[in-house]
Amino acid sequence: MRKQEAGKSGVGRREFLAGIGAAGAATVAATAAPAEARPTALPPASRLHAGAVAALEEGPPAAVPAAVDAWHIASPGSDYMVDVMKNLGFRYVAAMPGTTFRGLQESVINYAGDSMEWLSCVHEEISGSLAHGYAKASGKPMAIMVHNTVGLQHATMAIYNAWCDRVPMLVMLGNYADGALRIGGADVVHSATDDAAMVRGYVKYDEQPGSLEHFLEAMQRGYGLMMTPPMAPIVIVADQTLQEYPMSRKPQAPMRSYVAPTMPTADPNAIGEIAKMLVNAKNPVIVVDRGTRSQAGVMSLVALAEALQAPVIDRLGRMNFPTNHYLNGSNPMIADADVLLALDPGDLFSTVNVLEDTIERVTTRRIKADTKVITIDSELLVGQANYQDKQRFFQADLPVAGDSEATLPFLLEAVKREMSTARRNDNPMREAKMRDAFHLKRTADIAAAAIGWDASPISVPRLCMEVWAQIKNMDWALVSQSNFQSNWQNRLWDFTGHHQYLGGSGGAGIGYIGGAAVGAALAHKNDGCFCVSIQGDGDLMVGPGAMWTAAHHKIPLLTIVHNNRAWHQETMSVQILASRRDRHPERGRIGTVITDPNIDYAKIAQGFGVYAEGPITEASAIAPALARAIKIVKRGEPALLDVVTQPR
Amino acid sequence: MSVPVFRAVLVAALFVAIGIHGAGMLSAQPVTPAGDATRGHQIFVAQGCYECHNYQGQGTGSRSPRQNPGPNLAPAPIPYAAFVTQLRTPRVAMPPYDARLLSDRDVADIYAYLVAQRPAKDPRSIALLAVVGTGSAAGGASAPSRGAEVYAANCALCHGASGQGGSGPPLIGERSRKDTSAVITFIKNPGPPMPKLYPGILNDGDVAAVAAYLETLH
Repeated sequence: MRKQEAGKSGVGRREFLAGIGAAGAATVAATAAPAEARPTALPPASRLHAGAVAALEEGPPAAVPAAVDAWHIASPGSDYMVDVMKNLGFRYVAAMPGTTFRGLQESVINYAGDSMEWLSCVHEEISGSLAHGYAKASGKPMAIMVHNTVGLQHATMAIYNAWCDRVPMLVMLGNYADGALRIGGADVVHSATDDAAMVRGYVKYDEQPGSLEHFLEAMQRGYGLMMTPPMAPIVIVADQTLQEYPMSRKPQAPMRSYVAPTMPTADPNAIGEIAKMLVNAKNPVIVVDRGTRSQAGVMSLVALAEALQAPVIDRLGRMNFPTNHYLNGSNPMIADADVLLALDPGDLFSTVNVLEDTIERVTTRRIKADTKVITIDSELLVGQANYQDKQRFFQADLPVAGDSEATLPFLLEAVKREMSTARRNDNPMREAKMRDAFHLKRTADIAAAAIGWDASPISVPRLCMEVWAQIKNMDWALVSQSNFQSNWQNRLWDFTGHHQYLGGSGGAGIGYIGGAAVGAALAHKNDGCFCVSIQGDGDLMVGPGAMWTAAHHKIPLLTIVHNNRAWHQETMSVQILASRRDRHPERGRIGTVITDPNIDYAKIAQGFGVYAEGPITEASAIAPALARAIKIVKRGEPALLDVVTQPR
Repeated sequence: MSVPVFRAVLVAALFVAIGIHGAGMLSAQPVTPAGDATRGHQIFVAQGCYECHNYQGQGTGSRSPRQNPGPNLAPAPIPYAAFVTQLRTPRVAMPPYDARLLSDRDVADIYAYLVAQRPAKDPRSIALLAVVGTGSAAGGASAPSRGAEVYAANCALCHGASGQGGSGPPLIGERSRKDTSAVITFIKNPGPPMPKLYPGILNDGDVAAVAAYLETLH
């Protein structure tokens, strides 16, 4: 890297620094730009950027003015890095500050101008979860910058969640590759020989570019990889010397606009075979987890389900299928399937089997012995070692590699071609049956919600319905995961848009919701969509600082604390073991409940500058508190209500 | 759907956890002992029953195996014998509570607490629930048969959505094993661990309707 730059420009960083050290500013002038050519003041950032990009796009590499004297640096490499980021469409950078990327930070805030925004976070895990939620809500990746070693260690949980959830994220960190430039102390302990090593098991690509040219290649290659299903985070190490010192020469490669690769669709022959199997099935059932990533995907799936009159069991990795559609099926329906189509199913093994948490660990198959299982699964397109995010293996009868959303339109056409008149005539009867089943499912859920409606602590379905009553006439999105509320939201609310539910953390890493909700709300900041997060108290306490980011950047988000005063999943788990061991199940709450003292989440939120009320212990108090909080959010600020609830 | 059917919907959930295998251990419905509901409440909370079943024993009503930590126990608990069987020698993920952890008196008191729970309100009387649609986005559901409705609310969790069986025996082809009157008789006076839902939860019309529905399962 250094040889190349020195050779072509005549001035390498080493030489530049040596010049400063040996003779001071006067001697440097011989190899630097003339003093009169130095800018006396920075031109407007927007003009600077436009000129730089134009120059780069124009073509051949040319010498540019390098550092100007012992006190100043012009045209730092990080400016070019920011141009690359902008060229790829990055709008936001989320970060807690760290010296190893100070050059990049300065370029983002001073050089990028209004075209990029720096999102201040108080912990790198929050930066990561914020980018995670933003990407799912906007369909665009966000960049996070993390301090080398220590910052990356903080960010690892969020990166792992994004990896498991198949969400793109650009992770940038700095490092002095040249150890002789490390000042000592923290500068050294925050350096590594192989910077990305600690996260390599759960990113799709990482690179440590040795030059700006290499940086451009790495960024463009990495962007295409992370945005191709299965999507995933990537890591780019931005060497500090590249960031902080002048571009001694422009990179040779022109900075062309990013061209998105085509999405990986399934093999046409396989699509034809799937269509035949579905059309000829007596009870085709579709199960989907991360099968869609846009409203177009949802509509394709609806069209496919309606063409077949097949129920869709949405496992809620995303909002794949409208919850108020009569073909929105339920888990027991899987037992009736003679053909099961699984679309990016995530955990297929646990879809077709039940393995209870019992001593014997008996696996019960939920589908018939002769049920034919088809998968369209982008998971087959990428592998990683060590981490078990692909879940347990289940051998499908027809495993097909490909992205579900990209494949659905072709599959729909194939199904339509395959449908005989007799099969079409069969659809009204199937539809009537499905409408009946949906009616029964919703009726049962409503009945279940009514039990304990006025209970104290407040019933979870009651809380959910109090919230929905006040948002359902707006454009709204639930930007938290619902499984900790027994999916009451998905069972009772009418989700019709893909944007209305983002799924969960992916890696089941607690602490995801706070940052992800803020990130999703940021994505909707200017489109009028009202964002609400129902967040467990245990999750909240892992990354409460996300509230400060929301307040600082005026991100409108309504957070409802589902406060059951426990890490409730673990409360149950420990108690099960205590009972099996015949010793004090009543002590199973030690270490798993969050009481004595009870945490005052409203006060915490207020401390972060967020409007908050609570603890709310009476159900009748929820509605008026919601009305007040919604008013705050509608004026563009975050608000929080702490509601003390039943466990689930 | 009648109010009792709404109330009964979650009764079936615990039955999932009991299974038909418990039937051989219980020859008859024992007399339910008198219990102290107040003390039962204390034990219910202290022993952590609420952790999976919520404080009033209402459970979650979820159909997802992984997201249904505790089925509903109240307001109409399963028969006492089945309750004891499930508590002492549970099926699925329910942890065991033998006499070292809960005495017979404790169990009776917990059961009394569950029995004492107030019936659920009619969901149609709850404004926030009355607005939840049960039809489709494309426009209203067809009217399912009354028997199918009763079945889905009370029977499907154990016997399967289509009668294919689950923790309870399959009911497909029940017509070839019992005539309608025999089915009605069994539903009204079941052997344990089948819960007795008549007349508390199901009325005569409900039982007749679901028996007729069972005849259609094949």
